[in-house]
Amino acid sequence: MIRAPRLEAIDLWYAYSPERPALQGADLTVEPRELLALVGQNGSGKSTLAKHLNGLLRPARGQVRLEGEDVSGLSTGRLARQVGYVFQNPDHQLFSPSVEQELGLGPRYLGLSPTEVEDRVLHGLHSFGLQSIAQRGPGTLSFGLRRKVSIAAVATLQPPVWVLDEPTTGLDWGSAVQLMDHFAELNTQGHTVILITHDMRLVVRYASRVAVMSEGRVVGTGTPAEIFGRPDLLQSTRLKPPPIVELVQRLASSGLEIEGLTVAAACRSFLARHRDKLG
Amino acid sequence: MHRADPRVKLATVVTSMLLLLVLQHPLIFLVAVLGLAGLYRLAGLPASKIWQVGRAVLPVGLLLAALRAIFYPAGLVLAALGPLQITGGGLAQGATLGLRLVGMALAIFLWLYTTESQSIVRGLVKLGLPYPWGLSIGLALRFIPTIRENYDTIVQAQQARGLDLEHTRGLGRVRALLPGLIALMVSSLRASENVARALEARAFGAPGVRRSYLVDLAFRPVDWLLLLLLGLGAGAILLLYFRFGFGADPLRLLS
Repeated sequence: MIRAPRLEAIDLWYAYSPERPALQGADLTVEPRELLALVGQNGSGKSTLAKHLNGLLRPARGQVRLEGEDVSGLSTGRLARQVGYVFQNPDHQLFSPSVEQELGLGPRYLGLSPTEVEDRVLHGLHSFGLQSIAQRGPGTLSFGLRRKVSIAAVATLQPPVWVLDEPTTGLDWGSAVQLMDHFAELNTQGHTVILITHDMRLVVRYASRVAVMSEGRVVGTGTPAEIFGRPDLLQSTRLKPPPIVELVQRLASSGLEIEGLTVAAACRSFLARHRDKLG
Repeated sequence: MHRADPRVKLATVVTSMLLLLVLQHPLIFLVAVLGLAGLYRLAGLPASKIWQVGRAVLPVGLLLAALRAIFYPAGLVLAALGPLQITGGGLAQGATLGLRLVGMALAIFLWLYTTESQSIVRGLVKLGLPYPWGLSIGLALRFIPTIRENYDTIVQAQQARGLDLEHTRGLGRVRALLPGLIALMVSSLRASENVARALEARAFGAPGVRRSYLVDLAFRPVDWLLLLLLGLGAGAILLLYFRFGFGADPLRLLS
């Protein structure tokens, strides 16, 4: 079982320029082994906050703590062993002439021995089913495969914490679910996963907890059911729950009590409580 | 500043560059750099923009100034270390070179910061440049900040994979950043292909059609006045230069 560290962001302030404040006192605690969804409108500060967790950005004010220790003295290269970051655009994270070399880049940056680099590359190729394209240039692959390679390349660092910045953008639902199933599996093995997304269907399906961001702050945290049960928060942050959640809420307000955040859960709840109504 | 015709602004940039190349005195360039900084503020641009331009060219400017000061000794020796001498003339020439670079960068970026890319294209086309060329230049300029942002993200992605830039200096740093340039090239080529397709999809280059403009450029009286003032100012400086040697020597204002 992987032992993931506890991450804390305490009163983080950051601005890309004086006219462009991005974080304005953001607080967030990420517990070990949770699958946390970080949601909010574009520009609410999700990626900026996440980039502080592995030292890609350093706060103007505030502190990031890993297992209670301030990380300001640790380089991003060191933090990369703990927190892996998958960027939104795969083309921004593919640097090598072949898939095989791409997977070996991170371990080489970490200064691992050639044997260990090879082991990790082979394991990465196998885990993500990339053996047949190991010698191909990443730039020549389809978007879905480039996305897969970019994730496999982070996987070779074997980080206990993963930050996924809108990993399913540009993927069809089936591919998105396949990808997220992989991370759900990692999560059950003990990895912490922080998922930045606009897709609320993924949030209700995979997240154990949700943190909602607005104007550079975390304005609400809770289980998906708790968050989607707060109409004031949804309205102020312009979050739209998945259609099934809205349907369940409307049925409940009309007197038909059922629960569930997914279609399957709502159906189960309906059958359990109102089977007699089916006639 | 923002409202002036792009052709007037282009003429101002070209004239500034010409004067910065012809004149040689560091004091004149210092005044020019301060004047350009004043124009930034007049145009409502934040001081951070001046700093951004300065930060980009200052290292090269300082390097050129130092090399010039060391390897072109002239006049009074101020300090010596073995065969190397720092002289008054060398320092003045070095300062001229450094300030010239900063002045040129400030002039070009003032034009870019105060002119929309569409206006740049229209201005260049009005001056006789074929439209596809003008559009290419406008697009290239428009994408500079995007490419810069992409490069920053790519470097972050390298760091996120374990690259320790904080403890890498000099040539090692350059070597470490090379893979990032490959990624930048690939993403830029992909983006340019997408832009080309998007333009074609919006009828760019449709045969037998002459492009029309929703808002066309027209010189206003104030543009003519600005052009006249520019001509008179530049003419006066050049007259002083040729007639009295104003600014022709890095050590003396008048020869």
